[in-house]
Amino acid sequence: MTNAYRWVAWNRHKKIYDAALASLIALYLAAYIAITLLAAGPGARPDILLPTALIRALGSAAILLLHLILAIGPLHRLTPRVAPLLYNRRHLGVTMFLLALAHAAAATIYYGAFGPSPNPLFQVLFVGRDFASLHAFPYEFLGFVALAWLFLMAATSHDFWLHTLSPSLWKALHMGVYVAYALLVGHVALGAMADDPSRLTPALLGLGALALGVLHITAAVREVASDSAAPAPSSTPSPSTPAPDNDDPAAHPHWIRAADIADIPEARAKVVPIRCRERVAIFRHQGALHAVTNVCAHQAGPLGEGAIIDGCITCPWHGYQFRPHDGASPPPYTEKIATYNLRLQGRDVMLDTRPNPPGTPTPPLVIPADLDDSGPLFDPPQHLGPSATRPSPAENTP
Amino acid sequence: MTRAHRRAHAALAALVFPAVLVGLALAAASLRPTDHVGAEHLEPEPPAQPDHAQPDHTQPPPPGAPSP
Repeated sequence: MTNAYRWVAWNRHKKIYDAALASLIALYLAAYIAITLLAAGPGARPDILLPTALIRALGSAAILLLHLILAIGPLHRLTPRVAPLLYNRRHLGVTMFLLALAHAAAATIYYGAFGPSPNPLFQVLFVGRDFASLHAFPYEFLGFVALAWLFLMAATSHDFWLHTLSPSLWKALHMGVYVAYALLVGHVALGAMADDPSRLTPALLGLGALALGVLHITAAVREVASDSAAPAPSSTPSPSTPAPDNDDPAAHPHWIRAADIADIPEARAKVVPIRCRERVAIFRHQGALHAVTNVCAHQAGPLGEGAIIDGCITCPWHGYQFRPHDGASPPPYTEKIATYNLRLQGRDVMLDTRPNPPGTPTPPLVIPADLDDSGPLFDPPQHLGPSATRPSPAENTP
Repeated sequence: MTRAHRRAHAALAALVFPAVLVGLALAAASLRPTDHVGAEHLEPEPPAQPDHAQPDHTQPPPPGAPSP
């Protein structure tokens, strides 16, 4: 998105977000260690010492954070109120990786450095273990494979890699978080079952998987229902076809009725699903309507759930911005998104479902004064306020 | 998100979370706490031997035994 990269483009929201995250993690670690040592008591569990408690505290913090990270995506599809959490989700992911790395390093040193093998990692993974047996399976191996994947994700989390790898490859790589999650659940469950006869940890992991599964499937069902109910254009001729000038739908089958004017509030959008195609976001801005693709050029965020801030369509995920009339980012940025043609038929907003090439200037659909009944003025979300939307030209937002 | 992303998310969710639940249930059913390597401390302690130095006053004395 920029002509230069920085490690982190700090703004007020990110500082508050990260400070709160660090404080909560420190509190959790302290509480976990204190409770574990108190519950172990003097002599009751001689194997529970401060290093053991610290290793478990780091590991449990990482797996809890991973559950939160996985919940944010579907929650945001169910309610936009989660947007402030999603805005900085990459910092959550990197923090989770660092916690897992600290857990792995401490466990390898503590459990592997004093065995017969001179290599602590070899000692932990292979000595006395049997990959063919569930009873002697080295559950640490699952953790290390997951950690390697988390490292790949953390190392490529910066926008530099997003642009270098291409958004589709980057997204595919980062969807591997689900594989890492499954491996980590196996790691934690087998490790806990080796030590805790109560089965409390596997039960909690099962509840977590159930909650995440229900969230994901609920969000997916809602998305599929929305797509299925969408009108389908009957043909896809060249986008260069001019907008029709008569009101007969049969004469222009790729045009659909997208909305009533009153459906679109000022500075916000109505998202229009189109069967078998990407969704379109129709924004209202200063007495005119503009249609662009709903897919942000940055990380495919849902532009239609964003708003117009400082005259630009602003993605709710990371604050990337695009001009409503041509879908281009304001200079010096170079990203572009597809635009669409609109026309008015009574109060109905008609949409040409064929996208224009990204960055194509499209005439705004001016709303006649007698139909302009826009609601109250828009108040932008706090996390997308002026200090958080678009960084200065030399900044970027990992 | 693009349509492809939405489909991939739905497919992954439908695959991963049920698989995790089934895997957890199978592992919990297959593994007893004492089965696993590293669970030696969970082995039950052998029962304490009765202290023969002290007479057992809960049992009646055998016939002909001297009075305490």
